[in-house]
Amino acid sequence: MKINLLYSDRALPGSYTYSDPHIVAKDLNLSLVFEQASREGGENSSMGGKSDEYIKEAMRKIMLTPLTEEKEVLYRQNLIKDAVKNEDFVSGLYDVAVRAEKYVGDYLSGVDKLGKGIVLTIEKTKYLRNIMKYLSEISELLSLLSDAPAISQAFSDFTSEFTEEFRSATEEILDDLEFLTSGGRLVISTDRITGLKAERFFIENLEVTGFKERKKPKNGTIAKVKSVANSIINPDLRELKAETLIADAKSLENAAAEYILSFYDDFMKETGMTFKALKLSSAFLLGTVRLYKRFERFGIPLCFPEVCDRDSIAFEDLCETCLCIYNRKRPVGNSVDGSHKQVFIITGANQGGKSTYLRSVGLAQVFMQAGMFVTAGSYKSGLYKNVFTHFTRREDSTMNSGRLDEELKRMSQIIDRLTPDSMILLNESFATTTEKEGSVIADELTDAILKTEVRMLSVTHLLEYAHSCYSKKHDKVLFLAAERRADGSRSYKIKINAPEDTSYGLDLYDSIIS
Amino acid sequence: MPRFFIDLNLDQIVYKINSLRKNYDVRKLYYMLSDSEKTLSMRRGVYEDFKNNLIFDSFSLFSDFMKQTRDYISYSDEVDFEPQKAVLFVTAAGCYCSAVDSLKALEGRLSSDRLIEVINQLTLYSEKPEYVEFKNRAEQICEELSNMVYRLVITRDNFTVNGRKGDGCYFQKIKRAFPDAKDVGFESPFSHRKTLSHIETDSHEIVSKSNPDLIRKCKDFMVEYSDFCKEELKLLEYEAQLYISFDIFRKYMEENGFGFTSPVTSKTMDCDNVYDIALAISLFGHERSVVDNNVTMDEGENFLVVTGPNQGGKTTFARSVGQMIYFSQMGLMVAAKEARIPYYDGILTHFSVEESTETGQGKLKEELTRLSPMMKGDDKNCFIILNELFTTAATYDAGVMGKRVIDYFSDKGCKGIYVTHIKELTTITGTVSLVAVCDENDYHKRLYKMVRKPADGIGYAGTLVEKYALTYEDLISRFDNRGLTGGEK
Repeated sequence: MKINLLYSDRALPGSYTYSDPHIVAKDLNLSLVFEQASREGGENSSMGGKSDEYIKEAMRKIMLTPLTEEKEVLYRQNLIKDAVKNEDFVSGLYDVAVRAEKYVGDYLSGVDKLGKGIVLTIEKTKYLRNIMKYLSEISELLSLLSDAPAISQAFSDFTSEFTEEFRSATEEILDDLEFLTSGGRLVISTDRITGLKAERFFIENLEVTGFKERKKPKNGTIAKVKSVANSIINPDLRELKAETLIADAKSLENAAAEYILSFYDDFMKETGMTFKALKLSSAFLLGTVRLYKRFERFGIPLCFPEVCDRDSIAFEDLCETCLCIYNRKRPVGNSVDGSHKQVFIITGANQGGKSTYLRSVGLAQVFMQAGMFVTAGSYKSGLYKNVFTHFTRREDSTMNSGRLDEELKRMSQIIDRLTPDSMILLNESFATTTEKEGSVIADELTDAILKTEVRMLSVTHLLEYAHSCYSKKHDKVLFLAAERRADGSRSYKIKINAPEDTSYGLDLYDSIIS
Repeated sequence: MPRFFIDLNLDQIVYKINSLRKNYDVRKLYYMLSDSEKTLSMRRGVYEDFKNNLIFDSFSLFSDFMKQTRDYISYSDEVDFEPQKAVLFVTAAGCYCSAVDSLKALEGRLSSDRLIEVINQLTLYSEKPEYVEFKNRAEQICEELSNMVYRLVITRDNFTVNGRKGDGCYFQKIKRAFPDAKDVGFESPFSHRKTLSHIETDSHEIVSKSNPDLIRKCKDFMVEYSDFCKEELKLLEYEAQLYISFDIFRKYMEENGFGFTSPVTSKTMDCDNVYDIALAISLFGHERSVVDNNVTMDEGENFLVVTGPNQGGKTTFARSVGQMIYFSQMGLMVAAKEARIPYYDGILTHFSVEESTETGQGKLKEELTRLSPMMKGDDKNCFIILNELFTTAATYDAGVMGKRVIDYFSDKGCKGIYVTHIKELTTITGTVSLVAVCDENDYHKRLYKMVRKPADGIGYAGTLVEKYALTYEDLISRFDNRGLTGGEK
């Protein structure tokens, strides 16, 4: 019973993630996104209501597991579009999934302690009844959906398997199984006997005859007469009087009930998995809907991105998503047409928005490949199997002579796992050595990357590197720079521009010191 | 367990072989090396036959029936209830006849002299009138026993047994919920204990009223044929497990991409693509591959002296050759692409015990103590594998001692492998120098390949960029290797 609320052909993400999920999440500050998604509305407080740890984990898991096929991106975009229109359904589904998953978990962790035998069989019967109840709740929720073709389609397996016929047959079987507690008549037959022992039994008939405690008959006269009378009518009839015989009869009854329940083993196991998958997928959908609604309220531009070839990238009014969350208002947006441009080299003033620009593209790409919306007027890009980030954090307290070693090692590890369909985001790489050395390394890396199809965005203040690249006039390289107004103030806009001569650190000095 | 087993990781391999051969403990069979060239060629002949599916299947079936026979006999011994004892005994006899039948089909299809002889004897036995009479009676009673079935009706207060047909099948209801379900019945809750439960005893009493003679026939049979199972067949069953278990293992390895070859006895050693089986097994499911090596030892070459960097694959190489010689001596197949191997009278190994807490003098003493019995025996024509001897002694001393050891074994007509760090040992007469090599372009990258060349000892230190291979040329060659530059327009 698969409910494909994440992928067109399966319920759960595979083990594939970005190669360095933790580094990507850290460099792009994704934990802020996860945190915001996990909070309910609450317009007044800065981040909204209480945070839900599970939703946070679900967002992390799904967002760091990129979709690499256009078909899958569109499938999930459609689910999210439906979810935005049916928030009540999504939160209702998450609620059922959480309860059902917890129930299943509690049962599974307690079931081992029950050992084998009738106690376990009775518990299993109860468990099956409850599972049926949760599934019925989901059935009812589905009737609430409006204008949601993608979500309905995702539940098609569920609706075709959890049928009325299945439900009524199961109810009847569950009622029959009450014979274990309330008394009944069981007929079983053998097929092969080895050494006077039957190997297997088949159930011929099973009926509940009503509640009657099985106990040793009283040693009274009436009982004796009855017993004698019985044996005259049928000499092959044996009374269940001795403890040992009663125990044997009970174990046969239990084995029969276990056999009937065994047909539900897969169903029960599968539903356990289904609830688990449902919890994850509905948490992701709910988190995404919450982000969407919140951004909508703050007037932030939102779009569902368009997939194109990997040799191009273009966007309008792209806002850095984390800034949208921090500022709770629309930040400065950037636009660019990077058709047939493979490498972006971004230079310019410090504090001019270069890193923000780099992150805005990284975040948009991660959102897009999670099938989510992007905080932009429009966004068009290819799908990448991997996004690598190589951010040099100058504020890192661990700065020491081993930094370049560490930085180069990390770069080498990225190169080891690079595929043609990768995107690398470099933020102030090779800044831990001299300008001259750093420039040579960056320059050689860029030249080598240009021999491949790998997309690279490089933010740098290594001017020697930028100028060297610029002088080569490679037509697949786009140069961008932070805009500097005539008065020296910053617009935080990044525009197509040749690398400039200074980093405008003086501007910063002036604005802070004087 | 032979002494060299643990050094060569053969214990791990045999453990795996044993776990693949269900129902049998075959480990002891693997401790018995061929004691002469004659035994070796007999075994090779037998194993060649076992590689034929029909022969393998017949012997597997024979084993299954023999095992059942033995199991039923001991089952019968264990229970006290006379009717059950007798019935089980006849059941055992039935299985025994099937075991004999399963091998008779092989007549005329075998190539190995030994197997032909075995099957001929078996045919003679099965045609004796006593056996024919025994077989007829066993089969007839078994047939009658197989007709015994019953039906149990259990209610709150009583139960009964009758032979009448069922009054409706509960399974129809389950089919409504699961249309594809099949009724296989449930296992009897009493099947795990050998004696009859009370309800089974009562059921038997009721059912046997309809055929009171049957149990008596079983009892008579048991008295008459109390010792029907021939010792020769039990031995045949046991010995066949060597070939059956190895063939199962070989197919298992082949399914995982590791091939075997039948070795050929020759004067000199010449083997291609030899690999370490234990290492291969441990890497199943990982993406790493196992490196193989070619090994040759020409006339006049007594010892392969292996040097090279740590973790360079020297020990693995020595083990893989040792394993190959072991399996060759067993008369089985070896882990290589092609193998010409001389006949050796035995295998001797000495590996340094890394986890030993002993150091310095203590460890050297321990090593020499283990070495001394190897050098006192009158072993000739053995294959010797010595791994990192005398590591704690001074290099000069270790060199002198190593040379003495090599000379001693060479004089005795033994061949072998000596893994060491001491360059001087590679130039002794009768030794061949093998070096575990690294990538020419990357001195950190071990190739795990052993190459015939003079021992060397180089170190490498470069700038950081070179260390991480991030120069333009390095990057381009790395991109080339990963197929990244192919898309350039």
